[in-house]
Amino acid sequence: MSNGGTRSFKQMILGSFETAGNFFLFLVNVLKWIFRPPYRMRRLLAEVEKIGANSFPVIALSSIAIGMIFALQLASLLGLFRTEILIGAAVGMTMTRELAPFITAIMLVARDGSAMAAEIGTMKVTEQLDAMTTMTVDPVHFLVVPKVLASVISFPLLTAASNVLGVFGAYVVGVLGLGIDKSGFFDQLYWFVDPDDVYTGIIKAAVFGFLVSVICTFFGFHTQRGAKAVGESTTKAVVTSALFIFVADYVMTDLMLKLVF
Amino acid sequence: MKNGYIVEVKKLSKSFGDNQVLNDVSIGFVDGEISVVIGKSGTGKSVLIKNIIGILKPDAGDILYNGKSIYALDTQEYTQYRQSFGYLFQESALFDSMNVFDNIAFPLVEVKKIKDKRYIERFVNEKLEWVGLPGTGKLYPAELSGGMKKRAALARALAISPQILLFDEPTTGLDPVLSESIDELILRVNNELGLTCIVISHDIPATFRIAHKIALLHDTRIQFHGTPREAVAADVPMLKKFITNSFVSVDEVGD
Repeated sequence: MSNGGTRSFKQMILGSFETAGNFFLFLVNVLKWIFRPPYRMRRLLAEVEKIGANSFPVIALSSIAIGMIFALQLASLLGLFRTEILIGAAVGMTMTRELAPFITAIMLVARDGSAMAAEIGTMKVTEQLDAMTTMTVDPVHFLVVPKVLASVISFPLLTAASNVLGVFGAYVVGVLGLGIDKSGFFDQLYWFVDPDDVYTGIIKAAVFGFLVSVICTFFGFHTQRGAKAVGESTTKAVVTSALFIFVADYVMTDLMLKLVF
Repeated sequence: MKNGYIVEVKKLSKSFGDNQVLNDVSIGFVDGEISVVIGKSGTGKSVLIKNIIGILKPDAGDILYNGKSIYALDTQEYTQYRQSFGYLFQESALFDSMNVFDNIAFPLVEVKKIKDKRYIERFVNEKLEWVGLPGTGKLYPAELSGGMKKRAALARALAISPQILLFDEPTTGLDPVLSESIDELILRVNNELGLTCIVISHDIPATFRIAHKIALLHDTRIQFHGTPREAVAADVPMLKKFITNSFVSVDEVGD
């Protein structure tokens, strides 16, 4: 490796440590401000509307689609053993435990996480964050805290909706499309899906909401100068959030399998 | 307040990595005066102002407010100190997700914690009228021209009821006529409201129109600090260059 290559590799490693350190400080700052008044309920509700209510159509469509696709795939597999009646139960279990929180988080990263990073990044480069600071209003308190709280509220609510709509998709394909017995479909769903499946999925969604909102606002806050930098921050925010969702999902699934199920 | 300084910077140094921006900078700003800090782009004028207002922390040195070090203030006193400043940013820095009314109401609601909606409405409309923008409360920053943005930002800066107003290159990007109207606004702020004004600029004609005191920041230090009359007579090469390059007589332009 040439000297230049060694130097850039060293810079990359040092840069990663610097980013990790800055993220830790940002996280501590967010946690500090979450519990301090004033609690801006109007801003919180506006963010819940933006992240939660306005995201419902896209979550609904993707959940129904996933439920339908999954039911189709299962039908061909379970048909080999004449157990198509289990389609509802299989879709219900996978949606509640895994797919609903995961799809919700990924869709919301794309829709709202990117918007959070771009909004705060633009405010950074146009000195709006500095303007807030000079007025002794902390931008983390005013801008970030409502987004984090709204995400922790909205991600689980949308996940709950995704559970129901995923099963609805499976119902459409299984019962209406393939002619599976309706009462059998619901009977197996009721038999196999436990409240624990639903709770663990909801807890996962809340953790994803916290991670995504903190990561995306962090990258917005650390935007360098210029419009190009806003684009770079948004990309970093989306990619890092998605990677953290995978890692957090694996860790939580492992923990829940050992502790809950 | 010894020697009439409301804010005094003492031996302040600031660097970013290996780049030393300010080195042993000392300067005092007299209460009720307009002080203009001039210097080439990138010489650290904005860094000086950001240190004064507390956005940046100096590596060394002290800042005195009414004769008392701001680093010796407790949290509440330090917050009060910071609230005694209004800051007009170079690009105005209006919150683009809020309309003009909400921008000006922001310090009233978030800093002064005022909840009386009628008072806020009356206050905002008065400020808009004072800066020459009556009836623009419902417009968003994107719908305003450069000069209107500066005026709206000034109204927002005044809403916090500051003692000192900081102007970061207030006339940059404006045509000469608009620039002059902003200069007049700075003079009005000083004359009618009695506020101390610290202006960062490289607009020399504007500087001579409004300044009680001029300071030149060059090569990380304050090279000159005095009245406009003293500035003209001073034997400081960079200052001479600034002044001679900025004033062109009609004779020199020719036909």
